[in-house]
Amino acid sequence: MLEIKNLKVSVEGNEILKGINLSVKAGEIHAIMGPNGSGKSTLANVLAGREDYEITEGSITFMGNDLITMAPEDRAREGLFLAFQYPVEIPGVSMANFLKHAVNEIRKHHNQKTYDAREFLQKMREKLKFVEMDEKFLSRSVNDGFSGGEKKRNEIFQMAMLEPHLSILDETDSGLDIDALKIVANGVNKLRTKENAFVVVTHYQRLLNYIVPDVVHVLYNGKIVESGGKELALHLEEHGYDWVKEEPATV
Amino acid sequence: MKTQDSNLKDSYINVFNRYETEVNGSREKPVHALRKDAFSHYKSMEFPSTRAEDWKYTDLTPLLKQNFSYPVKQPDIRSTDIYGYEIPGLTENTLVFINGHFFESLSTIQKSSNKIIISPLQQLLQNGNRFIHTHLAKYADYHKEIFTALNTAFIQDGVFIYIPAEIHLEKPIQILNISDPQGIPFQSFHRNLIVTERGSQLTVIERQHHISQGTYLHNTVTEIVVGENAHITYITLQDESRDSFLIKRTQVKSNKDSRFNHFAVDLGGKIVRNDLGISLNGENSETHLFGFYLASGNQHVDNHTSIDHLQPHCESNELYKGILNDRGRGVFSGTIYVARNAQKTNAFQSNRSLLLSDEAEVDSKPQLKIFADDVKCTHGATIGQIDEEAVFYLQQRGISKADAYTLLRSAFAGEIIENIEITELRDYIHSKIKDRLVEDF
Repeated sequence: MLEIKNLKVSVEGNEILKGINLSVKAGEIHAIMGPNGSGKSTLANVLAGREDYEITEGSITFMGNDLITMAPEDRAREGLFLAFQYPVEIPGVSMANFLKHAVNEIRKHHNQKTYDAREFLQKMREKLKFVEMDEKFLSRSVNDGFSGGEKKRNEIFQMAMLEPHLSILDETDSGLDIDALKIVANGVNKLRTKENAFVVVTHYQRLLNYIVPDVVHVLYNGKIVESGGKELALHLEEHGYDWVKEEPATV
Repeated sequence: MKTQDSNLKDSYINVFNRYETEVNGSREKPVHALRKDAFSHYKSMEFPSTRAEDWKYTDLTPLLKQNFSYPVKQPDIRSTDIYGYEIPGLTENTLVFINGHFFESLSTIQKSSNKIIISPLQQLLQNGNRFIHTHLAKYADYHKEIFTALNTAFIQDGVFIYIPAEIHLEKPIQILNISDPQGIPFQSFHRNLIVTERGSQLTVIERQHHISQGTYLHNTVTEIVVGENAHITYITLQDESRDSFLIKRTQVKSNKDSRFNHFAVDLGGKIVRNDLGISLNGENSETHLFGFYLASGNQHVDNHTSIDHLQPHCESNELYKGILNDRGRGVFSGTIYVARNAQKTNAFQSNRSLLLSDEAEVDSKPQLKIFADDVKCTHGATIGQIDEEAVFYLQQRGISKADAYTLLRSAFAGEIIENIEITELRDYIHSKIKDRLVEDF
């Protein structure tokens, strides 16, 4: 589904990603862990198509398409979803209006019939249950005045509505208390199928108790220095990231 | 410039003389004494230059260069011509004016009680009316302001509304002003007087649209008396030609325990000047003022508001917003006066602007004059751009960049428009704004 080869990315002349290789197949959950400043969020943002990043080398293929040349909205329409580390507040745009726009754009892209108001409300109600959110959320402005936990749950709710092939969770667990964390993780687990995939970017192992990854990668200084099974996350939990820093990069 | 100024100034003398002969029938009525008095005050004043503090940011030179006709022949307009300006669900109680003249054949007036008066002003000036005698020209002061003096001197067309005590008008009253210059630079002196008694409830919608493009001048004055414990909402939507000049004064007197809500939406016009004055004249009266405008090309939109807190326990709440593009220019001047005895006053004022080009400009001037010591008063002005983070967020959800911009700009307007309670009107205004945003922004 996603194929990253030798990806090098700079921001204002500083190389942040120094040759990333990553292959994600349908049905898989990959965790990308690493200390602060290792390039985790850069990778997530580059995949979503945020400007300000210069791709100096390498390739990204998503569902058979060259991702790098695609506009952010086209990536989304092809089924790539980013759960933001810092979801943006948009006063004046209601959740319902925003989601109706988004879902119908994506459906149009795939030559599917757009939903009418009743069908859409029904779908929203059903998906709200995934993240234990109240219907009142729909009339509120996007993320406006939401608590930290509400914002993250809202990201998962949107994920449920848009039904992406590949979801990238950028530090979705940061700042969440254990109850909110469980709700978010449960949401992801319910959405998981054999056809879709997840890349979970996190600093903490805690989330991986609830979302069990197939592969764990350790990102350090712009490179993946270690890949392994879910036990790698536990090792990191116990020993921290210091041991990574001491080992020479092995790719 | 001086000569041009005096040309326009003098031109009204001929116009007034002709006008006097024309309104012959009503020359002996008291209203004519009012006209004459107003005109003598007009003669003693000059049109303001940018040296005047209240006109510092609004240069009237382009207006003063014009030569407007008055009166003009009434154009031949049929109902099919104005069909497009109807709002479905809001067709009752509509008074239609074309180029400032009342068109009875296009108007529909329905009254649930015969004590209610909804009438073109002209008829009542002709026949005499005690409410008009008591209230007309008592609030909008023609002694000091030249455009108000002119409007009063030519007082003829407009609307008079009287709502007796405890009457709740469920359907709004609409004033529909249609401009169709057809190449003739006309001018109009529209005048509204709205008097409401204790415990009454009323919504008035005043819309200005244009059928053809062109240069013309609307000089409008509206006086409103909000009765004790009355709830009045006054909504204006202006979508005039981009070559038109629009000078409007709205003067409101609010009595005890009353509530006055106002929405002013300005989309068209070349030079737009709105003066809104509210005097909170009784304890526990409340006013909520919302303004929104778009300015693109060379449009200039100037909103001056002035709220007088004269009694204790009153509240005023004011939010004005604008989106500017190209060389669009916006002016906001908001004065809040709190009299010495007006304790426990709450007054909030906010002005927010979105600038989409380097050449667009906004001047925002809050003025607080507070003479009481136990008051809560806040004011703020912000000028910003579209949040690029929000654009990316929307794109990441499949919405194109262009649609994301439109959505965010119309959300900026939404904060004002959402407060309009009449769904049909709210949707209509929203779609008008959205169309303009797609077209010119």
